[in-house]
Parts: sequence; C-alpha cells; structure tokens
Amino acid sequence: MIWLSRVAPVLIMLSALSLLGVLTLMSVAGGSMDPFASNHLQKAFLALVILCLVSAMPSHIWQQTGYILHIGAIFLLLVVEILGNETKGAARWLDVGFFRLQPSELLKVTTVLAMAQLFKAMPMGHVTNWRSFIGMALLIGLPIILILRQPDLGTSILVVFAAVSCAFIAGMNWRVFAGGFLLLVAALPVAWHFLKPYQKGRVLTFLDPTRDPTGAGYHILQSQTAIGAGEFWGRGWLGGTQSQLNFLPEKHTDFILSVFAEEFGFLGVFLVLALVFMLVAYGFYLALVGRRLFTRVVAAGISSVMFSYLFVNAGMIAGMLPVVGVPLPFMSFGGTAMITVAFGYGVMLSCHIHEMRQLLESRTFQP
Amino acid sequence: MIAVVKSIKVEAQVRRRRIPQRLSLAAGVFCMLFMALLGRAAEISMTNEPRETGPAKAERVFTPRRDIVDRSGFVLATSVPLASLYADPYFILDPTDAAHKLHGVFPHLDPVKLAADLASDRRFVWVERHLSPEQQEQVHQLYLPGVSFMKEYRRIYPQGSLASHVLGHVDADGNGLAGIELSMNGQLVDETVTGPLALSLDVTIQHALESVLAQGIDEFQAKAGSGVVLDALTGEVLALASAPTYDANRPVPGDAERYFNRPVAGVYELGSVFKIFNSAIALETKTATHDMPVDARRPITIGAHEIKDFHAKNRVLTVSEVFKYSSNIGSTRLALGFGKEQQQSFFEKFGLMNRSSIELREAARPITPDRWGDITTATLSYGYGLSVSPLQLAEAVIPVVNGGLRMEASLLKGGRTSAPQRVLSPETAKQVRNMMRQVVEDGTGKRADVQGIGVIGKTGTAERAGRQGYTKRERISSFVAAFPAAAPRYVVYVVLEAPEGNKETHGHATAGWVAAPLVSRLVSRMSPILGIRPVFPEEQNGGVLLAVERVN
Repeated sequence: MIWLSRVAPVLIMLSALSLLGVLTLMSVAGGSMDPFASNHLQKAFLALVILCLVSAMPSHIWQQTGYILHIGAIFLLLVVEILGNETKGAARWLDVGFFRLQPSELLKVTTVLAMAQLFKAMPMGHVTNWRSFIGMALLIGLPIILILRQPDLGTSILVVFAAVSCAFIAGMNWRVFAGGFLLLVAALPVAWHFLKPYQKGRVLTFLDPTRDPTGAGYHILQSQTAIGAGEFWGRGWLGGTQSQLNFLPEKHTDFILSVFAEEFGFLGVFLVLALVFMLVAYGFYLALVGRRLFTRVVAAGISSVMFSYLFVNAGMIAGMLPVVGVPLPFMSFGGTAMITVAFGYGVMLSCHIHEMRQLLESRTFQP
Repeated sequence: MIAVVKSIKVEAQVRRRRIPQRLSLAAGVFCMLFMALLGRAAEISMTNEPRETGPAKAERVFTPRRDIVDRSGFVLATSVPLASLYADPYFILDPTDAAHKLHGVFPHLDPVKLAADLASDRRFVWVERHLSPEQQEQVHQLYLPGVSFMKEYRRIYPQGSLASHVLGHVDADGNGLAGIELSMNGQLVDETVTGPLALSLDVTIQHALESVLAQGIDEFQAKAGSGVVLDALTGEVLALASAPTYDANRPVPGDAERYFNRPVAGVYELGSVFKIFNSAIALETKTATHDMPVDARRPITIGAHEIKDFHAKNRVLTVSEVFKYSSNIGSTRLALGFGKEQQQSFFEKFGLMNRSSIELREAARPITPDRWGDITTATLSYGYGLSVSPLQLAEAVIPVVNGGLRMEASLLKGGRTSAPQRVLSPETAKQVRNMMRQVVEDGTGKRADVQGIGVIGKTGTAERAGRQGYTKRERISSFVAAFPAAAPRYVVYVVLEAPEGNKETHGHATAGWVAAPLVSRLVSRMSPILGIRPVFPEEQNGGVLLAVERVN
C-alpha cells in the first residue's frame, strides 16, 4: 500500500504529461497516430513500467549500482564517439533496434546516482569540503569532454547542473562553490574559442534573434510566433497553422512545446508547467523528509534534472535561453530521456519507500 | 581522535540543518524560475501586438492591393475577394478518385498531374486559384476530405483592356508584373496607406484615344500604333495607348506583341517631327530667323550621303517654309548652321538623350548615335539617327507648346513637384508654334485641323527596315499636334506602324494622309471633354482668325 500511495502521484503526473505529448505528436502528424504518436505511447508505457519495477525493487540495489550505471553510460558515450550515427552534424545516437539510444541523456540521471553513491561512501567530514569536489570532477570530467565533442552544449551544461545540484543539496561548502563559479567565469572566453561556429551563432542569435531571422534566428522567431498565435485558449487541437503548415522545424522533438502552445494556448502551457512543477515539488518533498543522505541527494538531484529539462527546453522556446538541443521528457518524441527520467524517479521512490517501511517497522515493533 | 569525532558530530548537526536549508533555497530558486517561465509564456501568448514574422507573413500576400483610379476617381483596377482551393494531401484518402472528381469541376486541370500532386507528401498543394461561387459550390458538393478554401484577392480591371498598358497586370499572388502595377508595387501593397492610387489618366480621353487609334489601324491596315495625350502645363499624361492591346482579366500567354507598351518601351526613328526641335534650336541659338532665306534648290551631298527633299520645292525657302514643306535640305542647312555641340546640348535639354522619367519600368533608353559627325548632325535635323520612344517625343514638344518650359511627363495625378526647367525662350516657342500652325493651315498636315478649335502640328513619315531585313521597308507615320491653336495646352501624338494607303488617301500612307486625320478625329472628341468651346469665323472679331474661349 505504501508503494502504491507513493508511486501513484508520479505515475499520474507522468501519464498526463505523456498523453499531452501523444496528442501533440498526433497533431504534428496531421491528426494521425503514425509515425510519432503510437511509438511515443509505447515508449511512455515502457517508461512507466520501468518506473514501477525500479521503485518496487529494494533500494539497496540502487545504492550500489550508481557507479556501474554511470560507467556504463560513459562507455556508451565512447561507443557513440566511435561509431555513432550522425544526425545534422552531431553524433549523439546509438541504434539499438527498438529505438535510438542517446547515451548523453542517460548520463544526466546516472550522474545523480553516482554522486549520491559517492557522498554516501564518503566519510562524514569529507562531503562538505573540497574532497567531494574532486570526486565530482572525476565523475563528470570525462563524460563532459565526450559530450562536448559530440558536440552537445546543452546536455553537457545539464550534466554539470545535475552534479552541482547534488553537491549543493549535500551541503558542499560555499567557498568551494564560489571557487568553482570563479573558475567557470574565467573559462568562458576560452570555452567561446572552442565553440563550433553554429554554437557561437546560436548564442549571438539568442542575444538578438532578429540578427538572422531566416537562418539561425528562425527557430526562435517561429516558435515564439506559434506560442503567441495560441493566445489564451489556443487554436484548438490540430488547429495550429504554424505547426500544421510546417513553419516550425524540429516540432516533434525539441520544439514540441511550441506546437502544444499554439494549439492549447496559455492554459495548456500552464498545465504542462504545473505538472512538471508538481513532479519537481514531489521530489523535493521526498528529499526533505528523507532520512539518509543517498535518498535526499537522489530525490533532489533527479528533481533538479527534471526541472532543468523543462527550464532549458521551455526557456529556449520562449526565447529566454539560446537554442540548445534539450528535449522535454514525456512530451518530445524520443525515448531515452523519458526512460531515464522514469528510472531516476523509480530509484528515488524505491529509496523513499524503503525508508518509510523501515520507519513503520521501527514504530510497529516498538513497544 | 576526539577531534575527528567532534568534527563528525559538528557535521552531523550541520547536515541536519544545512540540507533542509539548501533544499528550501533550491526550491525557492526553482519556484522563481517557474514563475519566470509562466510570466514569459503569458507575455508571449497574451500580448496582441502585431508581429513581424510568422502567419502575418503568410497572410500578407492575401491582403488586398490598393485600387488604381483615374484622375476623377474612376476605378481602373481593384481587388475582389475570391475563394481559392488547396489540398492537404495528408488527408486525401484516394488521390486518383479525388483528382477525378476535381477534374469534373475543373475540366482544364490535368487529372494525372493532379493525382500526383494529391499523392505527394507535401502538406499544401494549390488545386485552383480564384474560384467562381458556382465552382466553389460544386467542390462543396464533392464532400472531399483534405481540400479547403482560402480567401484570396484577385486583381480585376473593370474597364477590360482600357489603359491596360499603363496599368499593367499582376501575377497569381498579386505582385505587379508590368505597368503601374509593377512600378508602384511597393505603394500598392503598403498597408499603411489607405485610399486608391490616383493616376493622371482621364478615362474618357483614354477611351477616345484608344478607339481612334483602333479605327486608324483598321482603316489603314497598320501593324500597330501608339498614342499619347499630355497636358503641357503640368506634364500629366491624360491618355497613353498602345495597339494592339490586351485584357489583363483574360491573359493570353505568349502574345508578346500585345503586351508590348509601344509608346513607352518602343524606340523609333520618328523622322520629320524632329524638325520642330531643329527649328527651335536654330531660332533659340539665333543662327536663323523665321523669315531668313535658306537655299533648298538642290540636294546636299555630305560624304557619300545625298540629302534630298520629299516634297521638293527646288527654290530658296524661308525658315518657316522649310518647316511647312518639311524640307530636309533646308533643315540640314539650319543644323549645320548651329552645329553639333548645340544640337547635342539641346537634345539633352529636350530629354531626347535619356530614358523618360515616366513612372513605368518599361520606359526605353533611346538609341543614340555611335559617332556624331556632320552626317549625323544633318540626318538628326530631320529625325534619323536617334531612336526615341513616342512618349519621349511628345514630352520634348511640351516646351514648344507651353512657352519654353520642360515638364517631365507623369502618370500620377498632379504631375511632378519639381520645378520646370526653361529650355526655350517664350518668343522661340511662339515662332515654332506659328510654323506648326502653318503646317496644318496650309502645309502637309491640313487633314489634322478641327474647325473652330485649331490644331497646330507636324507630320513625320519615317522609314525603317522591315522584319525581313531591308527587302521591304516599313513606314512609321506619325503626327504630333497641340491644341487649341490660340492658346495650346494639350499635346497629342499619334503613331501608326506600317500603314497602307487606301482609296480615300489615293494610296498614300504618309503622315499627312493617315496620322493627321486621326489627330483631327481625336481633337474633335477631346475638346468637349476638356471644355474647349469652338469659335467659328462668324464669331470672330478684330481680325483674329481663330479665337478660343475656355469654358470653366
């Protein structure tokens, strides 16, 4: 019963999000289940099954598999590096038959698990000081370099964000953060030098979308036009001209939210934001009531990953952030992010449920 | 050991407090970012400011063009909303069946090509633009999924072929392709400007010109013709016609002859009408006076070129008589008198050396002489060696008519705002007008006169190489006129290409026989419209042969 009561809210919110995704993907295909919606539905179902299975498994398994999963994900990144499919100049996918695996998406969640395992294994006094920073650097250093080489700026930033969130929640010292921040600022000009021309273009275009309205700024302007066209109530399902008439590129993946916004209006956007907000808030609640460091770090870390997906994706569509390839899990077409996020929530719930059971047992058996 | 234990204890305490602190801090930041997203979404979706890109861009094509009207507001071009049929092949169940059904409504569509279009993986295919209401109803009756209507504006020319060369036409998307529709496209699609675009044309005069020109072409079996009517006081074009003409409502693809705007885009060696400029230059440079004797007794030979007279008088003529009898020999002597430099500089001033500044992209660049030697100066005196458009020639006559001021021709109501430029002294202009009156009273242009109105003018009969080279030479017969004689204001120029003589003209096809009578007909039709009252001899007073009174 505990299991159902804890898993049900997440299950409901993720199902709702998936259904909105299915509706929008149907709209992208002109109202048909093919080619996107039916496939998406299958993967969403698979993701929810994984969520249930992972959360039902004993949490001690997950407390010991963080490193293994993380190393596995890094290995897959290496495989992509060597024989990945190139799509639009970026090698990010690995064809595994059922779907194309995107290891960089896996990494966002495995980073959280590995960080949690790292903190759990560290002696008490080490978590808050520079030693944990070294550990963090060891965990994400190689994958960041690999992801940047793909090149995928958005994902690498999200991976860093996931790791930093974990360290922040675990209570890392302010001074370490301040030092890291200064280091980052100092590295920016150097990083700019290493960016690909299209990435530089995106940043410049973000600063001024009208710089190149038919080229790099096209995505941003068209997507904002679509959102604006939705107004408050939306144009109705299948009623979006921007999306139906193909003005909007990449509309079934990273830009799905603008299609959704055009057809379901501000009200629809509010619904999506509210669903994600509740998912994130639920994770934070679990972190707050968690007793063990591992549970707390996983809960807050996975929630932060979910939040960063939404914020970067929606921010990019709304013109608040540069265009980087970040999907909106459960709505965008593409299974990897959906399945890894579901897996992450599963681990979080598994740990929480284990703690709850322990608590109940200790209370029950106390005289 | 104790220290380590102590630090662990401290951290345990810190952790108990710090983690909730950090969690609430992170949650607070996330909440703020959520609110920022929500606020941004609200800002984008609920501000109704007009946007520069997106659907507006797609719809812009479908907003109506401004109307084009004549000088009194008569509608010459307008846009009417019509339904256009398009298909989204995604929703077409059976392309072959749909194509077959649509073919039933639109028999001119190729069902095979249509079926291929409907089976394509595009999401938008035009089936047919600008449907009639009946066709729209028939399509409705087909109950075809996947086809829809879109409101589009179609350009309509209510007067049919009237002024078609001035107005031009538009493509299926409403972009100007020719004429004013092309040259003023930017202004016609400008949504910030309301109201129609007013041209200087007068539909009644335009109609008179077109019908007289068409009659003339029919009567003299001419290949083509041009006509221009200008207001010499303002430079406004009151009528501009090219024949054969076309109806932009029913385009005939490939019939380039009809679409060619002859008076504007065509250039011709126009012949003796140039003697107007030649005499004006001679008088203005004071190298001659109107009664100065000129030797026209025998042909002049310059190099290998012999200059002869068509209506040879074989005697000494006055400058006025040189003009009246259209003597090439006399004109050559005048031109050699003022010389090449003066000729060039005055041709520049008359606007004969450059493109006309008329508001039409079709305006042709004149073909100027490669080398300007004595022979060129001589032949230019009677209109050979320089090809100009008929409109340009009429424009160049304006200073003679209005007392010496060059007015650039304009198709917009009100003409140009720029200050006119003095080209001739009023005295020179008056003397040339007197000579032009003599041509009509007593010279080669008698058939141009209108009793009671009085026409002044000059004939021009030129020859040019025919289509088959020099085996058959073609005539360009033209007459440039101004009226009313007593106070001329309107310039009329009529050109016939390759006219043939008939019984009435005793087989003659020269300007005085074919072009002059057309001018006469045109002036008698235009005068009442322009409010010019004829004055007949019984009304004359004080020895003035013709007096003219302007009504209104």
